[in-house]
Amino acid sequence: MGDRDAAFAEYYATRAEVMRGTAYLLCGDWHRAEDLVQAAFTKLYLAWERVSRHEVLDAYVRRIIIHSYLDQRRRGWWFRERVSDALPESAGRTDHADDRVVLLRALEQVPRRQRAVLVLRYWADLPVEEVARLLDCAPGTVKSQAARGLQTLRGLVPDYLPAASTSEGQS
Amino acid sequence: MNELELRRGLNDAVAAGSPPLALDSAGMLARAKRQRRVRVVGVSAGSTVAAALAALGVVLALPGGASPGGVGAAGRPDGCQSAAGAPVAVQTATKLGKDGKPVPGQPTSVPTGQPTSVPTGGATEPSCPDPTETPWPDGQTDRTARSGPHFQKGVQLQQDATDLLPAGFAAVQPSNQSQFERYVGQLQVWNTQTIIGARKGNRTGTVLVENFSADPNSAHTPLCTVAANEFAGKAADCQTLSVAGKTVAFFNQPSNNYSPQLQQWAAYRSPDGAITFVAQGKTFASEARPSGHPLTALPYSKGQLVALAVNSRLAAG
Repeated sequence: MGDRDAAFAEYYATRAEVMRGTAYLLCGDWHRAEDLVQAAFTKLYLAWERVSRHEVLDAYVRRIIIHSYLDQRRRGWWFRERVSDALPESAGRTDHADDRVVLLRALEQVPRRQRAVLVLRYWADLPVEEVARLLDCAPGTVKSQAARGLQTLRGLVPDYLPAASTSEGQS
Repeated sequence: MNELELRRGLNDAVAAGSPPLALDSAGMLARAKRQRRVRVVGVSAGSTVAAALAALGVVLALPGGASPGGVGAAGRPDGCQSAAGAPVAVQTATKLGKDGKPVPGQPTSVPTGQPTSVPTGGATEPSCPDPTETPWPDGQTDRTARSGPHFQKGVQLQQDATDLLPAGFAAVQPSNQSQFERYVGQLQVWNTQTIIGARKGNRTGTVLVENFSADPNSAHTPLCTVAANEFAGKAADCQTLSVAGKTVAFFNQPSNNYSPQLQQWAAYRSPDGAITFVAQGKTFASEARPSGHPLTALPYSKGQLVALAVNSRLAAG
């Protein structure tokens, strides 16, 4: 195996799981997340020589995942979210497993760009400026989209508390 | 919910999820190499021919019987379907956090659920699990049916939808696809879809028809909810109409941010639980034709659209 293949395989081994998580939160389905991740890494491999600086690899893969997700024109049938059940009008307190489902379903109701901002900011922990670069928008837009997305989530699941918060007694 | 709680919630949702068997490094590398070979083949064969084949959904046969994959064709999750002579070694590496920095105390790893890693430094075939354990049905290597009865359903649906275009409209760049959705017990749930550019004069809109075979898990979900979710509409905007004694859910959302190409859609659930969606919009865009003149009016009237939803030619069968 050549240096290029070895480097690519090593990068994939270390980063695919995180990218898969990002894709999962965006599209709400592990199989489609896997589709997105494989497509993104395939493109990365094809462009490996050009995208040679290691520190930009994450941004390159994230950008492909995000824009594949956002691009309406290229969005095929397989890329649409499937929600099996209606989101409760007002989610009551449930156990933690249900909380996770409730949050994911609520996230699916958030407009796509807002959802992308929420996932990049609060799952990938990216700074505002980097999210703005990934989404080709201004940092101010990222802030406003994050605020609106969070507000939308609050409206959808007003009583939501993650497990850690519950156990710590936070509100 | 504040920002911290959302962060915890997202972490919790991903950590507690049950992802399917993911592609390991060896499989990913093999897939990427196949794609590169496809690219080379496409260039040498002439881009026009390759584009034409792609437009027709033709799958190029590669040495060893591998398929090139493509958008939506992720390949079998473990990547072991390849016999294309791409010996690779699974890499092990230090686990990194979301920020790409090493996570203290984390052992070397490959994505979870993978076959046992192969010692690095030596070229060898990836370790493949029992092929009977594939999550895809009927010997498929991914979701998409590329032959067989489900593939033919997509072809037929495209033809039927084309036949049912309103008078004066011509179909442009039609496409179709059948994909496996999920197992419900032993039952397979399938989705078949066709997207057609509906052209009149020099203007083109979109007609989309898709159907789902019966899914017991959603059999009791209200039709308006199913229809709203399919195209990210608001259930409150759903109109229920009766067509020949059959209930159809109808949505009219001219400013649908989720799917701007589709402004109206109708859904019908047949007695056996299968669901048919028919949607339309004034604009049409595809990778091959990213933009064009939009229609001045939708292809179908409201009555025509809801009637199409109950048309047996468009039903899953």
